[in-house]
This record gives sequence, structure tokens and C-alpha cells, in this order.
Amino acid sequence: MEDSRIVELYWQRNEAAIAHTQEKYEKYCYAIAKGILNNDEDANECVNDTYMGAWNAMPPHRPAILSTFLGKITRRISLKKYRSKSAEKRGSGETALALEELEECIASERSLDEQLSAKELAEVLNAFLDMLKADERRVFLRRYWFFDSIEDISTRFGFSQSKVKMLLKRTRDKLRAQLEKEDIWL
Amino acid sequence: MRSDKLNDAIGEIRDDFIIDSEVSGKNRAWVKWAAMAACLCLVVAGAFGISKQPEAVQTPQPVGEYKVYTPSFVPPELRPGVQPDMIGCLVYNGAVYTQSIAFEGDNAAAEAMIGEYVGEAKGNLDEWTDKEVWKENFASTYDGSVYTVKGYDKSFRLCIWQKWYDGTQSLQLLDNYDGIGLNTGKDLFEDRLHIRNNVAQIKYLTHYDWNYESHIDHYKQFDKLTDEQFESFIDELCGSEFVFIDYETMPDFYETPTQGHLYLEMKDGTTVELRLIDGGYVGCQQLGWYFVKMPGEPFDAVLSACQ
Repeated sequence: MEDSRIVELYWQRNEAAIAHTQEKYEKYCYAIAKGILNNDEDANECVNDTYMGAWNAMPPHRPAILSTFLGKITRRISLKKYRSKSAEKRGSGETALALEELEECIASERSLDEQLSAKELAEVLNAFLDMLKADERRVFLRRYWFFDSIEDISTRFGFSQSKVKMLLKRTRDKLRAQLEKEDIWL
Repeated sequence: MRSDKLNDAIGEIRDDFIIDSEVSGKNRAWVKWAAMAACLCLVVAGAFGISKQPEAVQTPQPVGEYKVYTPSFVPPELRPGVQPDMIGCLVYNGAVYTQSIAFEGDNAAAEAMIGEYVGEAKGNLDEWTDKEVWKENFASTYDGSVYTVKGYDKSFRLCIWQKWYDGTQSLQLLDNYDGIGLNTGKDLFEDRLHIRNNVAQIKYLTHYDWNYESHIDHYKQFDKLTDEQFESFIDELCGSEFVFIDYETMPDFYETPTQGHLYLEMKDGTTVELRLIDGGYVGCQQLGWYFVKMPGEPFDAVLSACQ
């Protein structure tokens, strides 16, 4: 079923919207959740929560691209679950590594401006990503949006792992410089 | 963590960035190659006659006796509203070599593959490079020293030895698919890629894992068939003819539900990736819309073993 028809079902409060969403996007959402949580049970739980999140979000939202709309919901829910679980113990695995790497983008002993909304910060990031070369941007997002491992990224793009690490390091350094230039800190 | 807010904001970036990074890489590489083949002038000889010739494309060399003839490479053109994209390239002796699998063995193994020194790659190519630059010998998207690859004809395969700022090194193989004629699988898989009697081990990915999953956990040993059964598959592959998949008549070809992905890890450290698509089609990434067609029991056995 076309995305526009599925969205229309949500707006009509027709529960068939959930069934069609599951049929079309279950694997997609599961892959995102599994990439963050690395646990089948948790990933399935987040996928189910995604359907609820979508039901609550439409209306008022009417996304043009349903896949990324759902993917963003799944990512938010999965990260929330990851943080609640790792509050109890030190996180491990690719997600923990990726999050630690992102710490480099924040100048030491500083934090991002608390008054800055996620939406405003996303706009800064959009402008930053626009400046990057295609390979830099894709590798950066495979790592920090999808939480792919270095090895998976190298396989996906046919790069050596050392090249992937170098691309990520350079992009993190550029992002840090851009955040400092935008004066985004406490 | 201090980066939580940054991480959350990354989740809210523009949709087109997310989609681009979803389809980029292996999938996009297949589509890229397929798009290239669809846009470039194509001639299929023998029973198929002459196929479509898109406008503003150079005419290829005569085909002669070949079943298929890969198009001569045409530099990318920027068009309004189209996000340019590039694969790794090296121009050598008038042919455009394109990136093959990056060699991930240790330095000693990589150095063992390096043959004769050929020249220095200029690192002067990207999506915006003037067409005239593409005529220069050693024009390339890579920096580094170019060498032949031991055991491979330099008219087909070269390599670039790259040294990175952190002191690490990597070897990138490049293959020439620029205007080559192919009749049977032997012309590619045996004569150029040397898969006959050169396979050390075989791994595979199910199509689902190839599409969605983190590969590191999902490569499986290909051990459901006997050596004899797999040899039958290789024999059939090398003896079967190439066909061209016409996008206009088979636009959903790459979406065929039943597929398999084999990784032939060769004794020399290289890897040949085969994509099997239901109906008897076997291809490799750089070939785009050209596949060996070999329906029958050997193909079915291997495809089933990849599910």
C-alpha cells in the first residue's frame, strides 16, 4: 500500500493503518532498533512502541516520507531504552562506542547550550551535513544515525576500516569546529 | 552523557540525508552500476540485435562476436536537482578502472599481492571534474602509487597502495569493465577473476541479512553442498552465456524476493562477491545489468543453500 494511503488511514483513525505499517515497515524499524539495542526482545518492544508512537502522531502530522518518519520514532524510542538500561551498568557494544566518539564533538568541560532546542540544533546539523562530501556524510550517518559498526560501514562502501575511521575522525573534528564557530555551548 | 542532546538532534535531521545514507553503499553501488549501464550506449550482439541508444552518448566500439559488450565509460554530468555521486576510479591507458573490493588483509598479505610499479594516481577526479581531465593518464579519485596485481592481467586489474595520515595503509583493487566483450561466464569469472581452483573458503549472506542486518554477525559458512555440487555450479557458471537485463521491461529485477549473496574468499586474499537472483541469474557488482543466465539444478541448489 502506498504511504499516502497508510497516512490517510491514520487520519481516519482506522486501525488498519497499524497493520499496513507493520506489513511494510516492520523489518525496517526492527533493523534500526536492533542496531541500537543489539537485543531481539528489546528491539521488538521498540518496534511495537513505534506503532503506538505513529498512531499518536498522526494526526496532526502528515509525513511526506513515512519510512523516515517511522525510523525517527524508532530511533528515539530505542535510544531512550538504551539509556535507561545503561544507566544501570556501563554500556558496551557499538552503540556505546559510537556515543563515546560523539563526545569528542563537544569541547571539553562544556555542554551544549541547554536553551537550544533539538530542532534548532538539528538545523545547525543540516547545514553542517550539507557542507560535507557525500562519502563523509554517508559514513557519518551510518555510524551515528544507524549505529553501524566500523566493519559494516567498510563493507557497505568498499572502504578499508582505516579509511572509515579516518573519515569519521575528520568529520567529528569538523563538527566540533562548526559548533564552536556557532558559539553553541554553555 | 554530554553528547545526548547532539545525538538526539542527529535523529531529527533532514529526511533526504537519512534516505541517501540508507541506499548508499552496496545497494546504491548496484543501482549506480545499473544506472550507468542503462544510461550508456548498449549494444547486444547475436540473437538480440541492437538495443536502445540513449541520446548524447558516444557510440561504442564494434561488438563483433560478443553476446554482451559493457558500455564505454562516460564521465558523470551534473544536472540540476540531481545529487552527483562517484565510485572510485583510475584512468589508465585510455580505460577507466573502477573500485573493486578493498583488500582487508594484513600489510604483509597486501604487499604480497603488489606487482610492478605503474605510476602515481593523481587524486584529481570528483563529481565536478571537467571532462577533459578524464582523458589524462592516472587521473583518479584516489591518491597513491599504482601497481599491477600479481596473478592478474594489468589490462583488467590494478591496485593502489594508499597510506593514511595515521600511519595505516590499505590496498584498493581496481578492475577494468570499460568497454569489454563477454560471451560466457568463463570470460569474466575464470579468465579475469580466476575463481577456478582458487577458492579458499566460501561464505554467504541471506538476502535479508544483506539488506538489513549488521554483517559481522551474519556471515555464514557455505557448507550445505558438497564440493562436487559447487564445482557443478562453477562449471555451469563458466559455460553459460551473459544476458543484459533491460530495465524498461524488468524494472523490479533487483527487488526479486529470492536472492542469495556468495563471498568467494580466494587463496590470494581477494574476494569475489556473487549475487544470485531467482530465475538463474548470477552477477557481480561492477557488471550492473549484465548477468550470466544459468537456470537449472546447479543454480537452484546454490540459491537454496543461501536461504
